[in-house]
Amino acid sequence: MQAQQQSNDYTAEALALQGFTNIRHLETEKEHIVTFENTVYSIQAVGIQKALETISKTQPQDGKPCKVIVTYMDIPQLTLTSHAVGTKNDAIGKVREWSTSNHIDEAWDLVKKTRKTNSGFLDVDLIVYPQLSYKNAIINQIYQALFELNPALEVTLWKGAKFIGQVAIPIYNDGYPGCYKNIRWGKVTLEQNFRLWRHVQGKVNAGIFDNNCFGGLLSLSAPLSDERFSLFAEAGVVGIGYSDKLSKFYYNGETCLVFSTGMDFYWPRYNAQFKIRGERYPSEEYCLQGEMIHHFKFASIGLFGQTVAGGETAGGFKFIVALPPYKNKRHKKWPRIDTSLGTGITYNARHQSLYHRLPYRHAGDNILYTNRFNPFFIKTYIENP
Amino acid sequence: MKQFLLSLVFICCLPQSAFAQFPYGTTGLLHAPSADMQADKTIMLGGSYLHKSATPSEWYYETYNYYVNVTLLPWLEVAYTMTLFKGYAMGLKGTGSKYTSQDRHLDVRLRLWKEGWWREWTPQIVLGADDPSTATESTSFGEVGESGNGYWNRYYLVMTKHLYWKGNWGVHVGYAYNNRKYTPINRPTAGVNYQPELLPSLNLMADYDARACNVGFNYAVYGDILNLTAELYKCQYPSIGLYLKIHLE
Repeated sequence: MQAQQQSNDYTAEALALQGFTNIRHLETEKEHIVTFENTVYSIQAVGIQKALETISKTQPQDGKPCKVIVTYMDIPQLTLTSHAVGTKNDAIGKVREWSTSNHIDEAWDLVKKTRKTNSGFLDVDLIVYPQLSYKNAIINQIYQALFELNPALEVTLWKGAKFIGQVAIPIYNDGYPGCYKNIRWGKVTLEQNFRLWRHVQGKVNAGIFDNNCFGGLLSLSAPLSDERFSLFAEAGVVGIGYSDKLSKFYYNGETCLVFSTGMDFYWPRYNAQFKIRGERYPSEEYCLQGEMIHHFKFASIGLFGQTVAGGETAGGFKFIVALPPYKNKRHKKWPRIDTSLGTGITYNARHQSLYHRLPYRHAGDNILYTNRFNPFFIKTYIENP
Repeated sequence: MKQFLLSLVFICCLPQSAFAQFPYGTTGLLHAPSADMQADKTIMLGGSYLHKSATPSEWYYETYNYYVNVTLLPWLEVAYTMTLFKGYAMGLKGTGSKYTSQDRHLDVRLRLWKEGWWREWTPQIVLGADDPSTATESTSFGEVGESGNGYWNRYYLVMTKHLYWKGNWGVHVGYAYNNRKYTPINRPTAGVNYQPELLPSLNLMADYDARACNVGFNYAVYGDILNLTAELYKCQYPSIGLYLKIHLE
């Protein structure tokens, strides 16, 4: 028993040394259970693969399977299960094969009661979000561009909660009028993540979003029994307003109910995601939107098409590329400076004023971010590091 | 006639690699389409100098384009191409010969049949649409009018078959169509390319794009990463392009 506890402590210590947080471990009669959170590697698939290597090397080869639960702000996101490696007669360090799933089972109920190592409570990050915007809207100049550095203070609060306060600092502005010339508030939100009935991921965001919106949004997503399919629903109340300067916020007095609902299909063979959504926007228009996104290790590239009630159509492409550094380990509990997960563009092939969308909820919200815990995507890259 | 015969001589050569069709920013020959596809997860970034004869009639001057092309799935390729306009062509005064605006267009290619499926002799078949959107009179995505935007509009169905004989050969036969007033197309297209055994980084091409016969080549300057393409449109008018190929993980 003591030897097993030592090996479990050794696993937790090894993971903590690498910079992983919210680490727990438990050995039951039938399996080993380990939980951790990756805040070191910007690409979750890379971080998870590194953690699994450590777990494989430090867990006893006693024939019991190992269940790893990856968390985000201490909310379970992903389960990886390895089959029993074998008895002590097998070679030490034999590579385990892992199956991945969004479903959480009773293993989480058992392990969450155990003591955490290297808690992520009150971790503070200063994240810099470089943003290049450009438009081709006049005939006497090919492009007008806006480059901003948008630093955001991100603080991990209680379980599932995070505060993000961003400031938009224009560095270069050619042709973007009004508030874009000023230092102003970017996205300022309080986010609460939660999990319902083990299978439903939920999130509530309240604050200032982008797209001239502020208010509150609730989103829920749940994989079906065939995890390639999942359902998504989002609804909220937003007001139309924007920050002109740090001391000025304009609100036009209107509020609007917005929603988005639909289904996703993920094609593991190509790491391609297909989405269909029915949506209502802050402009009070209803829209049917389809997206196809191909997810790569360091980028996500997609196409979208939409048709708005009334017959207008739009379409285009979007891509996000992960920014270096791809590894940034926190030193004890000191605030950390880092770059955003990724940056990119959404390009509307029609006139930009026809591109409708719901606001992004927080500074790091993009297609690369929302796919980071996809079990099929993770499995691809832990099998092909 | 001489140009056509000259093209036929070059048409006897058939390569097996996929190269960028630099006026459109998609995979193809010089101006005629082909059914070759890039490998999955390939991104191409390129730019070209285009002789005025190699462009639609709206360009009566030499111009440049640049493009980004992504093969999102092994059977789906998408490109976005920008071609520059000069200020005076847009009615602006005092701009001299500066390029002040651009045409943007989307291109999509969908592989319907992979070469060698079912039987070894079956060719690869691709359905493509260049610039299928926007017209000044229309508000619908997918409609292209007789005039207005949609300068590069073209729909096509093309087949490609590869052979090997002292190098890689490819034969490409297709049909292209648009309903444009000034540069209409409603004819077959054809082309050939050849990659010599002794110099596989060179790809010689000749094609007929439903309007003119063209000859040219592509040269992989640095592996399959940096490529140079050059052509003589109508076997007379030179254009040249450079593109970068990136393979994502």
